[in-house]
Amino acid sequence: MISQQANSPLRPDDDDVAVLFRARYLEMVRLAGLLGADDPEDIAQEAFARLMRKGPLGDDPVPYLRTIVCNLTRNRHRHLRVVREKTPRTVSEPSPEHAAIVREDHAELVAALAALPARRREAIVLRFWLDLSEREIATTMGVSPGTVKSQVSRGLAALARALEAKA
Amino acid sequence: MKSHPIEGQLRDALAARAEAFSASPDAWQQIQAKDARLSRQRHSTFMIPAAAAATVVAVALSATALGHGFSGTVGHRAAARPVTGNPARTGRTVEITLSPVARVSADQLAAAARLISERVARSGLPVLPAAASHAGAATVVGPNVVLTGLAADKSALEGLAGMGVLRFRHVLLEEPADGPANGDANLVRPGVLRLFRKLVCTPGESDTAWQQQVGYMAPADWNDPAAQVVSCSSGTKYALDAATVLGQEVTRAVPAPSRPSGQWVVALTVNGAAASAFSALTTHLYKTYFSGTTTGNQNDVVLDQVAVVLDGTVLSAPETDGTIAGGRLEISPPAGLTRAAASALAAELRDGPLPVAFRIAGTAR
Repeated sequence: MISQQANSPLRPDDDDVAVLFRARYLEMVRLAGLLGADDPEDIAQEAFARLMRKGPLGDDPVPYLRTIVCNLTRNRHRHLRVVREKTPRTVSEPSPEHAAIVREDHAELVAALAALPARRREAIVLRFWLDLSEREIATTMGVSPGTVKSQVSRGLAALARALEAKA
Repeated sequence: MKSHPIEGQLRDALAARAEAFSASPDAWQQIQAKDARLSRQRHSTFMIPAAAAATVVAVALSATALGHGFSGTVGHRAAARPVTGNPARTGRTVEITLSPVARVSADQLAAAARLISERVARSGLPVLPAAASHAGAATVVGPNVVLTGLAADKSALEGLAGMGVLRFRHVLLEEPADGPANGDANLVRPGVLRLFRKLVCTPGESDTAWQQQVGYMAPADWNDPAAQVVSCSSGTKYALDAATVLGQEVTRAVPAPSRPSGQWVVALTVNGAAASAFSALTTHLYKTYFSGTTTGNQNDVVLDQVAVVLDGTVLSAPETDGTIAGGRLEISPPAGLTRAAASALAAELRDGPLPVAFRIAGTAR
């Protein structure tokens, strides 16, 4: 819970954001990372900077942070795809850290997840990593609970198909 | 939600993958720096007369994906190990024959060849000794321009032969491959709305493939600044407003490192008139749509974007996340390009568009 001492009516107290930062920063970095952000920390930092500029913190600013992380990552994704097409020099070089950290049997799922359309991937990550309810996911993504349900089930089906194809 | 057989495995994989991302010790300082930078920008908005200074536009184009694409060449790492721009590189050569799509004079053809040669030189791609001994990488041969370079740079060279017409357009409708259209159809003229509904964008298709669907035959069809247009970009479909800022107003384009990520962007400087037009547009977008983006209104998320359009294709569609006027313009924090990619794009934009568009008539090795 965030204490609400407003010494400025226009911006949240830096201390409040600092508390929130300590509690939630890593979660936001990881959320951006799982959604496929090219620079997860930059996205998480931007989300916190926007929170500071937004004005007084609401009762629970965490859903706001998650929404911003999702939106920023989705938009940058699109830029990435465009630039990859327009920009010819692509050098494929698997990063050694990733290879070492992600276990072999997880790697295929992670790869299949990366191939999902952005919104489907968001629904899957919010559901199975953050364990959010359909309603919470709907709020975060700005869609209806029905859309969340269908995105999750289609996402799961696509992941299952991808695993079978590899097996 | 019903349980699915792969659910357990998926949870484990996500938990394990999440461990790969960690927080850097200076994260809090970075957040405060971002906040301070954005506050300064908003102040400068009111202090710099709109017409006085040229506007610096940081076009935030993007960079690295996990495990593919540009990985391994991000920012400082790329600088340490350049993958292009090494004049000592050798290898098989390629000759790309560029045929003008419209009738041109000999002078225009020569001017186009000169511009393409300059772009190649500025982009840092190696110029072969044979080409360097005469005019440059591109020379006029009969009715065509022939572009010579390393076979490994073929697609980079083809990119540099693009006409290079830049437009900034407000995004009115956007429809990703996997989702519904968002935006505001009421802002789109009926004829353009019909084209938007008809158009099917497929990831990976060529520009001509989508252009033909809507009867776009010549550069004038997608470059017309007064007209609303449709566009495809990697499977995402757009309806875009008339152009606010034109490429001719770009007075400077340079690759620039972006702080704090250490990646690269193209910094554009536009003249005073364009700066005013841009400030009017972004102020309007920020006032009208930004607060909606913070509450997850997907129509506002779309309408808060200005598309950076190169030769009819949306390069990026950054959100307007502050009142932007007069001074330094930052559209979404620059995620950056590789140094090589930023150099190539800057080279293409620096001296304005080619006098004529070319199509690739043939490639010989």
